Amino acid sequence: MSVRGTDEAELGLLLTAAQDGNRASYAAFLRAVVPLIRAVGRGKLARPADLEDFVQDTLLAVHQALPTFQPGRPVGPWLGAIARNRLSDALRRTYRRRAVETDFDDGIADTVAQPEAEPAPQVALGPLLSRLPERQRTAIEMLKVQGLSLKEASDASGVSIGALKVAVHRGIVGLRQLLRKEDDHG
Amino acid sequence: MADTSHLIERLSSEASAARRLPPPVLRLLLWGAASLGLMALATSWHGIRPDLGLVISNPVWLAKQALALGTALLAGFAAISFSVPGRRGWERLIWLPAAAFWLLVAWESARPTLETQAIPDMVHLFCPYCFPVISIGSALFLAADMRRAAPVAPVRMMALLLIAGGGMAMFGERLIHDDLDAPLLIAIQILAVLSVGAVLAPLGRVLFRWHGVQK
Repeated sequence: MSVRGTDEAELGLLLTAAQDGNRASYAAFLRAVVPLIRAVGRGKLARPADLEDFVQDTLLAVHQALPTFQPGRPVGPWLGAIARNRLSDALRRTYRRRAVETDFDDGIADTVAQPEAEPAPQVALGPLLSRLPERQRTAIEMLKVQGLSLKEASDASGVSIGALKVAVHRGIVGLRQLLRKEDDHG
Repeated sequence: MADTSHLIERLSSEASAARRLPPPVLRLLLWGAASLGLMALATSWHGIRPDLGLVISNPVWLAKQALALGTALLAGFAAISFSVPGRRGWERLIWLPAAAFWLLVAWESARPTLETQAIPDMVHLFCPYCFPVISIGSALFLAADMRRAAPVAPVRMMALLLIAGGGMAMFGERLIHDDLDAPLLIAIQILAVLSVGAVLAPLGRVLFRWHGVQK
Protein backbone atom coordinates (compact mmCIF):
# COMPACT_ATOMS: atom_id res chain seq x y z
CA MET A 1 0.00 0.00 0.00
CA SER A 2 1.54 3.31 -1.03
CA VAL A 3 1.28 6.12 1.47
CA ARG A 4 2.98 9.47 0.94
CA GLY A 5 5.92 10.24 3.23
CA THR A 6 4.22 12.96 5.27
CA ASP A 7 1.02 10.92 5.58
CA GLU A 8 3.10 7.92 6.56
CA ALA A 9 4.74 9.83 9.42
CA GLU A 10 1.42 11.30 10.53
CA LEU A 11 -0.31 7.92 10.44
CA GLY A 12 2.57 6.40 12.40
CA LEU A 13 2.17 9.03 15.14
CA LEU A 14 -1.60 8.56 15.26
CA LEU A 15 -1.25 4.79 15.44
CA THR A 16 1.38 4.94 18.18
CA ALA A 17 -0.84 7.29 20.19
CA ALA A 18 -3.78 4.94 19.59
CA GLN A 19 -1.72 2.05 20.98
CA ASP A 20 -1.18 4.17 24.10
CA GLY A 21 -4.95 4.43 24.51
CA ASN A 22 -5.59 7.85 22.91
CA ARG A 23 -9.12 7.44 21.56
CA ALA A 24 -9.17 10.65 19.51
CA SER A 25 -5.97 9.64 17.73
CA TYR A 26 -7.38 6.18 17.12
CA ALA A 27 -10.56 7.59 15.59
CA ALA A 28 -8.49 9.97 13.45
CA PHE A 29 -6.26 7.09 12.32
CA LEU A 30 -9.20 4.88 11.39
CA ARG A 31 -10.88 7.72 9.48
CA ALA A 32 -7.64 8.47 7.65
CA VAL A 33 -7.09 4.90 6.52
CA VAL A 34 -10.63 4.27 5.23
CA PRO A 35 -9.89 5.79 1.78
CA LEU A 36 -6.62 3.81 1.57
CA ILE A 37 -8.42 0.58 2.40
CA ARG A 38 -11.21 1.39 -0.03
CA ALA A 39 -8.62 1.94 -2.76
CA VAL A 40 -7.30 -1.61 -2.20
CA GLY A 41 -10.75 -3.12 -2.72
CA ARG A 42 -11.98 -0.82 -5.48
CA GLY A 43 -11.94 -2.48 -8.87
CA LYS A 44 -11.85 -5.93 -7.32
CA LEU A 45 -15.18 -5.91 -5.49
CA ALA A 46 -17.95 -4.95 -7.86
CA ARG A 47 -20.84 -4.42 -5.46
CA PRO A 48 -20.72 -1.33 -3.24
CA ALA A 49 -22.05 -3.44 -0.34
CA ASP A 50 -19.14 -5.89 -0.75
CA LEU A 51 -16.65 -3.03 -0.84
CA GLU A 52 -18.12 -1.53 2.32
CA ASP A 53 -18.09 -4.94 4.00
CA PHE A 54 -14.42 -5.30 3.10
CA VAL A 55 -13.60 -1.86 4.50
CA GLN A 56 -15.35 -2.69 7.77
CA ASP A 57 -13.72 -6.13 8.00
CA THR A 58 -10.34 -4.50 7.52
CA LEU A 59 -11.03 -1.93 10.24
CA LEU A 60 -11.94 -4.77 12.61
CA ALA A 61 -8.75 -6.59 11.66
CA VAL A 62 -6.73 -3.41 12.24
CA HIS A 63 -8.33 -3.24 15.69
CA GLN A 64 -7.22 -6.79 16.45
CA ALA A 65 -3.76 -6.31 15.00
CA LEU A 66 -3.14 -3.05 16.89
CA PRO A 67 -0.64 -4.60 19.37
CA THR A 68 1.49 -5.92 16.48
CA PHE A 69 2.49 -2.48 15.19
CA GLN A 70 6.03 -1.55 16.17
CA PRO A 71 6.46 2.23 16.61
CA GLY A 72 8.92 3.64 14.12
CA ARG A 73 8.12 1.09 11.44
CA PRO A 74 6.20 2.16 8.32
CA VAL A 75 2.40 2.03 8.52
CA GLY A 76 1.84 1.40 4.80
CA PRO A 77 3.17 -2.19 4.63
CA TRP A 78 1.50 -3.02 7.98
CA LEU A 79 -1.88 -1.78 6.80
CA GLY A 80 -1.39 -3.17 3.29
CA ALA A 81 -0.74 -6.70 4.59
CA ILE A 82 -3.92 -6.61 6.67
CA ALA A 83 -6.00 -5.14 3.84
CA ARG A 84 -4.74 -7.70 1.29
CA ASN A 85 -5.54 -10.54 3.69
CA ARG A 86 -9.07 -9.26 4.25
CA LEU A 87 -9.48 -8.67 0.50
CA SER A 88 -8.58 -12.26 -0.33
CA ASP A 89 -11.19 -13.43 2.18
CA ALA A 90 -13.76 -11.01 0.75
CA LEU A 91 -13.06 -12.24 -2.79
CA ARG A 92 -13.35 -15.86 -1.65
CA ARG A 93 -16.74 -15.07 -0.08
CA THR A 94 -17.86 -13.30 -3.24
CA TYR A 95 -16.87 -16.19 -5.52
CA ARG A 96 -18.58 -18.68 -3.20
CA ARG A 97 -21.75 -16.61 -3.17
CA ARG A 98 -21.72 -16.21 -6.95
CA ALA A 99 -21.49 -19.95 -7.32
CA VAL A 100 -24.76 -20.53 -5.50
CA GLU A 101 -26.65 -17.37 -6.24
CA THR A 102 -27.98 -15.87 -9.42
CA ASP A 103 -29.16 -12.33 -9.50
CA PHE A 104 -32.91 -12.24 -9.11
CA ASP A 105 -34.76 -10.23 -11.66
CA ASP A 106 -37.92 -8.78 -10.18
CA GLY A 107 -39.47 -8.49 -13.64
CA ILE A 108 -39.55 -12.26 -14.22
CA ALA A 109 -41.79 -12.86 -11.24
CA ASP A 110 -44.46 -10.55 -12.70
CA THR A 111 -44.70 -12.55 -15.94
CA VAL A 112 -45.23 -15.94 -14.28
CA ALA A 113 -48.50 -16.98 -12.69
CA GLN A 114 -47.87 -17.26 -8.98
CA PRO A 115 -49.47 -19.97 -6.84
CA GLU A 116 -51.74 -18.65 -4.17
CA ALA A 117 -49.44 -18.03 -1.28
CA GLU A 118 -50.21 -19.06 2.24
CA PRO A 119 -50.84 -16.03 4.37
CA ALA A 120 -47.55 -14.90 5.83
CA PRO A 121 -47.37 -14.69 9.60
CA GLN A 122 -48.18 -11.21 10.77
CA VAL A 123 -45.09 -9.45 11.95
CA ALA A 124 -45.08 -5.89 13.18
CA LEU A 125 -42.07 -4.43 11.39
CA GLY A 126 -42.46 -0.94 12.86
CA PRO A 127 -40.63 -1.64 16.14
CA LEU A 128 -37.93 -3.59 14.29
CA LEU A 129 -37.45 -0.78 11.77
CA SER A 130 -36.96 1.68 14.58
CA ARG A 131 -34.02 -0.40 15.80
CA LEU A 132 -32.12 0.03 12.53
CA PRO A 133 -29.56 2.82 12.07
CA GLU A 134 -31.28 5.98 10.85
CA ARG A 135 -29.79 5.91 7.36
CA GLN A 136 -30.98 2.35 6.70
CA ARG A 137 -34.41 3.01 8.22
CA THR A 138 -34.95 6.11 6.10
CA ALA A 139 -33.85 4.29 2.95
CA ILE A 140 -36.23 1.38 3.59
CA GLU A 141 -39.12 3.69 4.43
CA MET A 142 -38.68 5.72 1.25
CA LEU A 143 -38.03 2.86 -1.15
CA LYS A 144 -40.01 -0.02 0.28
CA VAL A 145 -42.78 1.62 2.32
CA GLN A 146 -43.51 4.82 0.40
CA GLY A 147 -42.58 3.15 -2.91
CA LEU A 148 -40.40 5.97 -4.20
CA SER A 149 -38.03 5.25 -7.06
CA LEU A 150 -34.29 5.34 -6.39
CA LYS A 151 -34.02 8.66 -8.23
CA GLU A 152 -36.89 10.22 -6.27
CA ALA A 153 -35.53 8.96 -2.96
CA SER A 154 -32.06 10.22 -3.85
CA ASP A 155 -33.42 13.67 -4.74
CA ALA A 156 -35.50 13.83 -1.58
CA SER A 157 -32.78 12.70 0.81
CA GLY A 158 -29.68 14.06 -0.86
CA VAL A 159 -28.09 10.60 -0.62
CA SER A 160 -26.57 9.04 -3.75
CA ILE A 161 -28.37 6.18 -5.49
CA GLY A 162 -25.49 3.80 -4.77
CA ALA A 163 -25.52 4.66 -1.06
CA LEU A 164 -29.31 4.18 -0.97
CA LYS A 165 -28.97 0.71 -2.52
CA VAL A 166 -26.33 -0.21 0.05
CA ALA A 167 -28.44 1.16 2.91
CA VAL A 168 -31.52 -0.80 1.79
CA HIS A 169 -29.51 -3.99 1.36
CA ARG A 170 -28.01 -3.64 4.80
CA GLY A 171 -31.30 -2.63 6.33
CA ILE A 172 -32.96 -5.78 4.99
CA VAL A 173 -30.10 -7.93 6.25
CA GLY A 174 -30.43 -6.20 9.62
CA LEU A 175 -34.20 -6.74 9.69
CA ARG A 176 -33.70 -10.41 8.88
CA GLN A 177 -31.28 -10.77 11.78
CA LEU A 178 -33.67 -8.95 14.12
CA LEU A 179 -36.55 -11.19 13.01
CA ARG A 180 -34.43 -14.27 13.59
CA LYS A 181 -33.57 -13.06 17.07
CA GLU A 182 -37.26 -12.40 17.80
CA ASP A 183 -38.09 -15.95 16.65
CA ASP A 184 -35.36 -17.42 18.82
CA HIS A 185 -36.70 -15.62 21.85
CA GLY A 186 -40.17 -16.95 21.07
CA MET B 1 -24.45 -4.07 9.94
CA ALA B 2 -23.39 -0.70 11.20
CA ASP B 3 -22.18 2.07 8.93
CA THR B 4 -18.43 2.52 8.66
CA SER B 5 -18.54 5.80 10.59
CA HIS B 6 -20.50 4.14 13.40
CA LEU B 7 -17.99 1.31 13.45
CA ILE B 8 -15.10 3.76 13.73
CA GLU B 9 -16.86 5.54 16.59
CA ARG B 10 -17.46 2.27 18.37
CA LEU B 11 -13.94 0.93 17.90
CA SER B 12 -12.34 4.17 19.06
CA SER B 13 -14.66 4.47 22.06
CA GLU B 14 -13.76 0.91 23.10
CA ALA B 15 -10.03 1.49 22.64
CA SER B 16 -7.71 1.23 25.60
CA ALA B 17 -3.94 1.10 25.83
CA ALA B 18 -2.79 -1.88 23.73
CA ARG B 19 -0.11 -4.15 25.10
CA ARG B 20 2.45 -4.11 22.32
CA LEU B 21 3.83 -7.47 21.29
CA PRO B 22 7.59 -7.76 21.84
CA PRO B 23 9.79 -7.67 18.71
CA PRO B 24 9.95 -11.00 16.79
CA VAL B 25 13.50 -11.77 17.94
CA LEU B 26 12.48 -11.54 21.61
CA ARG B 27 9.40 -13.67 20.96
CA LEU B 28 11.64 -16.22 19.23
CA LEU B 29 14.01 -16.33 22.21
CA LEU B 30 11.09 -16.89 24.58
CA TRP B 31 9.83 -19.70 22.40
CA GLY B 32 13.31 -21.22 22.18
CA ALA B 33 13.60 -21.13 25.97
CA ALA B 34 10.19 -22.79 26.37
CA SER B 35 11.21 -25.52 23.90
CA LEU B 36 14.46 -26.11 25.77
CA GLY B 37 12.34 -26.51 28.89
CA LEU B 38 10.39 -29.27 27.12
CA MET B 39 13.65 -30.97 26.15
CA ALA B 40 14.78 -30.79 29.77
CA LEU B 41 11.47 -32.38 30.76
CA ALA B 42 11.96 -35.21 28.23
CA THR B 43 15.56 -35.60 29.40
CA SER B 44 14.51 -35.88 33.05
CA TRP B 45 12.29 -38.73 31.99
CA HIS B 46 14.56 -40.61 29.55
CA GLY B 47 17.98 -39.36 30.61
CA ILE B 48 20.71 -37.97 28.37
CA ARG B 49 22.24 -40.32 25.78
CA PRO B 50 25.15 -42.20 27.35
CA ASP B 51 27.66 -41.23 24.66
CA LEU B 52 26.88 -37.51 24.61
CA GLY B 53 30.37 -36.67 25.83
CA LEU B 54 31.81 -38.51 22.83
CA VAL B 55 29.49 -37.29 20.09
CA ILE B 56 29.84 -33.63 20.95
CA SER B 57 33.45 -33.87 19.83
CA ASN B 58 32.29 -35.21 16.46
CA PRO B 59 32.04 -32.23 14.08
CA VAL B 60 29.62 -34.00 11.71
CA TRP B 61 27.18 -34.75 14.54
CA LEU B 62 27.54 -31.20 15.82
CA ALA B 63 26.94 -29.77 12.34
CA LYS B 64 23.78 -31.85 11.91
CA GLN B 65 22.51 -30.78 15.33
CA ALA B 66 23.31 -27.15 14.58
CA LEU B 67 21.42 -27.42 11.29
CA ALA B 68 18.43 -29.00 13.05
CA LEU B 69 18.33 -26.31 15.72
CA GLY B 70 19.06 -23.56 13.21
CA THR B 71 16.26 -24.67 10.87
CA ALA B 72 13.83 -24.95 13.79
CA LEU B 73 14.70 -21.47 15.08
CA LEU B 74 14.63 -19.87 11.64
CA ALA B 75 11.31 -21.54 10.79
CA GLY B 76 9.99 -20.27 14.13
CA PHE B 77 11.26 -16.78 13.33
CA ALA B 78 9.62 -16.89 9.90
CA ALA B 79 6.35 -18.06 11.46
CA ILE B 80 6.46 -15.22 13.98
CA SER B 81 7.29 -12.73 11.21
CA PHE B 82 4.28 -13.91 9.21
CA SER B 83 2.10 -13.10 12.22
CA VAL B 84 3.26 -9.47 12.19
CA PRO B 85 1.82 -7.57 9.20
CA GLY B 86 4.25 -5.75 6.97
CA ARG B 87 7.50 -7.49 7.94
CA ARG B 88 10.27 -7.74 5.35
CA GLY B 89 10.15 -10.56 2.82
CA TRP B 90 13.56 -12.06 3.65
CA GLU B 91 12.48 -12.70 7.25
CA ARG B 92 9.84 -15.08 5.96
CA LEU B 93 12.16 -16.96 3.62
CA ILE B 94 15.21 -17.13 5.86
CA TRP B 95 14.43 -20.69 6.98
CA LEU B 96 14.50 -22.08 3.43
CA PRO B 97 18.29 -22.09 2.86
CA ALA B 98 18.84 -23.66 6.29
CA ALA B 99 16.27 -26.39 5.64
CA ALA B 100 17.64 -27.05 2.14
CA PHE B 101 21.21 -27.23 3.45
CA TRP B 102 20.16 -29.53 6.29
CA LEU B 103 18.37 -31.85 3.86
CA LEU B 104 21.35 -31.77 1.50
CA VAL B 105 23.81 -32.65 4.28
CA ALA B 106 21.55 -35.46 5.52
CA TRP B 107 21.08 -36.78 1.99
CA GLU B 108 24.79 -36.63 1.15
CA SER B 109 25.59 -38.48 4.41
CA ALA B 110 22.96 -41.12 3.66
CA ARG B 111 23.85 -41.65 -0.02
CA PRO B 112 26.91 -43.91 0.42
CA THR B 113 24.96 -46.19 2.72
CA LEU B 114 21.77 -46.23 0.64
CA GLU B 115 22.46 -49.61 -0.97
CA THR B 116 23.49 -51.39 2.19
CA GLN B 117 21.18 -49.75 4.68
CA ALA B 118 17.68 -51.08 5.02
CA ILE B 119 14.87 -48.55 5.19
CA PRO B 120 14.14 -48.15 8.91
CA ASP B 121 10.71 -49.29 9.92
CA MET B 122 8.21 -46.74 11.13
CA VAL B 123 8.50 -47.78 14.79
CA HIS B 124 12.11 -46.62 14.86
CA LEU B 125 11.60 -43.47 12.84
CA PHE B 126 11.38 -41.44 16.03
CA CYS B 127 11.04 -41.95 19.75
CA PRO B 128 7.29 -42.34 20.37
CA TYR B 129 7.56 -40.33 23.61
CA CYS B 130 10.24 -37.68 23.19
CA PHE B 131 9.35 -36.68 19.63
CA PRO B 132 5.64 -35.97 20.25
CA VAL B 133 6.30 -34.24 23.58
CA ILE B 134 8.90 -31.88 22.16
CA SER B 135 7.37 -31.32 18.71
CA ILE B 136 3.74 -30.90 19.76
CA GLY B 137 4.69 -29.00 22.91
CA SER B 138 6.92 -26.50 21.18
CA ALA B 139 4.43 -26.14 18.31
CA LEU B 140 1.72 -25.35 20.87
CA PHE B 141 3.94 -22.74 22.56
CA LEU B 142 4.56 -21.11 19.19
CA ALA B 143 0.87 -21.27 18.26
CA ALA B 144 -0.11 -19.62 21.55
CA ASP B 145 2.35 -16.82 20.85
CA MET B 146 1.17 -16.34 17.26
CA ARG B 147 -2.50 -16.32 18.23
CA ARG B 148 -1.84 -13.05 20.09
CA ALA B 149 -0.73 -11.49 16.81
CA ALA B 150 -2.43 -11.06 13.42
CA PRO B 151 -3.41 -14.05 11.23
CA VAL B 152 -2.43 -12.42 7.95
CA ALA B 153 -1.02 -15.66 6.49
CA PRO B 154 -2.61 -18.52 8.47
CA VAL B 155 -1.65 -21.36 6.11
CA ARG B 156 2.02 -20.42 5.94
CA MET B 157 2.07 -19.71 9.68
CA MET B 158 0.76 -23.22 10.34
CA ALA B 159 3.24 -24.90 7.97
CA LEU B 160 6.19 -23.09 9.53
CA LEU B 161 4.97 -23.75 13.06
CA LEU B 162 4.92 -27.49 12.34
CA ILE B 163 8.35 -27.42 10.70
CA ALA B 164 9.74 -25.46 13.66
CA GLY B 165 8.25 -27.92 16.16
CA GLY B 166 9.48 -30.92 14.15
CA GLY B 167 12.99 -29.49 13.81
CA MET B 168 13.12 -28.77 17.52
CA ALA B 169 12.03 -32.35 18.27
CA MET B 170 14.69 -33.79 15.93
CA PHE B 171 17.32 -31.73 17.72
CA GLY B 172 16.12 -32.68 21.22
CA GLU B 173 15.62 -36.35 20.42
CA ARG B 174 19.28 -36.77 19.46
CA LEU B 175 20.41 -35.40 22.80
CA ILE B 176 18.42 -38.18 24.46
CA HIS B 177 18.72 -41.23 22.17
CA ASP B 178 21.86 -42.73 20.69
CA ASP B 179 20.10 -45.00 18.19
CA LEU B 180 18.72 -42.30 15.88
CA ASP B 181 21.89 -41.11 14.19
CA ALA B 182 21.61 -43.14 10.97
CA PRO B 183 21.95 -40.62 8.08
CA LEU B 184 19.10 -42.17 6.10
CA LEU B 185 16.84 -41.91 9.13
CA ILE B 186 17.63 -38.22 9.50
CA ALA B 187 16.89 -37.60 5.82
CA ILE B 188 13.57 -39.45 6.11
CA GLN B 189 12.68 -37.51 9.26
CA ILE B 190 13.40 -34.17 7.58
CA LEU B 191 11.22 -35.12 4.61
CA ALA B 192 8.49 -36.32 6.99
CA VAL B 193 8.56 -33.05 8.96
CA LEU B 194 8.40 -30.98 5.75
CA SER B 195 5.58 -33.15 4.39
CA VAL B 196 3.53 -32.93 7.58
CA GLY B 197 4.01 -29.16 7.52
CA ALA B 198 2.72 -28.99 3.95
CA VAL B 199 -0.20 -31.38 4.46
CA LEU B 200 -1.49 -29.87 7.69
CA ALA B 201 -0.88 -26.24 6.67
CA PRO B 202 -4.56 -25.60 5.74
CA LEU B 203 -5.49 -26.20 9.39
CA GLY B 204 -3.98 -22.77 9.97
CA ARG B 205 -7.27 -21.28 8.77
CA VAL B 206 -8.93 -22.88 11.79
CA LEU B 207 -6.20 -22.17 14.32
CA PHE B 208 -5.42 -18.60 13.31
CA ARG B 209 -8.53 -16.53 12.75
CA TRP B 210 -9.54 -12.94 13.06
CA HIS B 211 -11.73 -12.64 16.09
CA GLY B 212 -11.88 -9.08 17.47
CA VAL B 213 -15.20 -7.36 17.84
CA GLN B 214 -18.42 -8.05 15.98
CA LYS B 215 -19.64 -5.58 13.38
